[in-house]
Amino acid sequence: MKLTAPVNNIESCIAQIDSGADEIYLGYRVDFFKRISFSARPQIKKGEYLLVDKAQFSEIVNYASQRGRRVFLTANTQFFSDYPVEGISIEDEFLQYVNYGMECGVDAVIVSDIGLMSAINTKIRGVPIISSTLVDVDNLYQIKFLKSLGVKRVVLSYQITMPEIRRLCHQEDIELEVFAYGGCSFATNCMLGHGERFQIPCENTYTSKKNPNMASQSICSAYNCSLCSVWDLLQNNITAIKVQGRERDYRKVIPLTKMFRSAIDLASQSTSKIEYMDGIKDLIPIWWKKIFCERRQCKFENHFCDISISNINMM
Amino acid sequence: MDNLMYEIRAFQTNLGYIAGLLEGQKKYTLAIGSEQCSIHFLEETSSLLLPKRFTLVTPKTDVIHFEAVVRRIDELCTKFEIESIVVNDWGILQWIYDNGYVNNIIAGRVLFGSYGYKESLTEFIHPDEREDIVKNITAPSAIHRSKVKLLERYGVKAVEVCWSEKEDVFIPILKVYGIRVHLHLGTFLAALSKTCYKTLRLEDGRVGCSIECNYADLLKLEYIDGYNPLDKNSISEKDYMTLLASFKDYYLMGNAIYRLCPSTCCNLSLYDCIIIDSRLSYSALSKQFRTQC
Repeated sequence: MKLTAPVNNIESCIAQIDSGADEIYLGYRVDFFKRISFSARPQIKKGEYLLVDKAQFSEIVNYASQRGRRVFLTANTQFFSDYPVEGISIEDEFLQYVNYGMECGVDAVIVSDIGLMSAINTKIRGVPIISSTLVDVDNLYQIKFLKSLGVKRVVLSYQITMPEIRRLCHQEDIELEVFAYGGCSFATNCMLGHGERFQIPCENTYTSKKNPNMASQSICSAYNCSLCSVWDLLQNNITAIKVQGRERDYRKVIPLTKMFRSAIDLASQSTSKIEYMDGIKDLIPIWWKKIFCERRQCKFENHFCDISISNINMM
Repeated sequence: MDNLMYEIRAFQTNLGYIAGLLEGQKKYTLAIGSEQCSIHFLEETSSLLLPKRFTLVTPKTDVIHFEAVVRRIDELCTKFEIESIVVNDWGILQWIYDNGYVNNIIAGRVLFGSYGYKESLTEFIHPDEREDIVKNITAPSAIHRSKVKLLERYGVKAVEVCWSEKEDVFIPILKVYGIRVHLHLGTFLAALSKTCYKTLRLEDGRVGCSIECNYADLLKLEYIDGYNPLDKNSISEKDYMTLLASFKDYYLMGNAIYRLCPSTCCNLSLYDCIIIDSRLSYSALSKQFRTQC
């Protein structure tokens, strides 16, 4: 099972590879847009570039490829239409974006817009496509549909559960990936966009007219930690697990990469789930246990019975 | 406008009433099902209540509920004359295509979002972005020849959209592509999750599933995560309260959040069909039947 990590500059690329990432993913900025990008992230935020330029992108791809790491181009902005812009079509610009990535030597392109997948498949051909988690895949026929568009790997829905993974995992000739850390309450069609005014809307606190007491909880139901599930993911033939954080300072993402690297290595060496769970308890730092274990933030399936905070020697 | 059709979405709680209203009306189609929730879709609806012909709205579904959902589609298609099937899941579309139900497939709004629907909450679009690019990214994302070609391959004849500011520019483009356009009157689908907020993690069955999900529940924003009134760099309390108040017209319904938009700004003549959700567009529904019936 591979570990896929985000990169947003050459320093983060070096650090991610040194920390055990097998695959990296990133996008680059284009002159066509001021703020938005093809990469599902703003090009610029508060005056700082969040995406590398074309030359830096090429340098990163070279660096990673020379060290045997696979590189994926993020081309997963949702909801593009093809309304003509002064005779230029957004789709043509997008295909140029993908072409440049392929010329630089990326191994695959992460796409979320079904029309753009279809365009790549019919107009460029031979580009390995990874279906982004934003496609929100959680059934077999969706996978069949995506295969017909040339998709080689599917990043499953943020909210996929282990019982669902068990039913989806025996797919031939397609790779399945999941988010090991990070996620969202919503995926497809979420219009509660993150922003400076309302921050992350689903994490805010609401009351409802019929249930004024719901103020104690947000509408967010995303669970972030999958450390206890890594062994199960490996047993279920998941090709790769991904760490989120393209917008974040890489120094804050590196500890996650290291932790999941250790978890994958431990899972590969463990002969049983019990052995893995015994080992993982020692790997998880106390601050992590407080944030995730104590608050029962288990992704995929509940493990809090196994690793309850009360059973952990906090000292 | 004379050819304009109306599709009224009815639910278990009001099906009898709506079916009665629509009896004998040629401009109206009854639709049943759910765009949001597999469990709602699977709820047994008495065959006695159902008219002979109706539109079937199918949900976004997961691997655990998939078999049951397609069995239900098959059962309804066998027993009744299904006028159209609204598809909100690419997997369901593939299944329908594989199984030969190719008549009158409509691509539901869950399949096609638009940044034009989310601008009230986010600053995604930079003020300096070129106007024509902004136009492009705020258009309904179904306006895309590659998508339309793909939809044609799957027998899709129409797409559902929500209202967009420049509808007079956008909608004719879809018509040029040869696809019919159905408008959800007065509502945006703001967010869709597999998780039902009232029960959390509703994955293996209908534990705790409640009929209350048939009713829209107004959401009020009480607190923005991370706001600190003592932080000098933070906005003033007055501005903060204004910001909280600006979050309005959002409704929670089971695993979905809807936002209402004023239906008075729509140019209905641009569309082939107007969809009225009887739970969300109650005022539009009553207005419709006050003036039409």
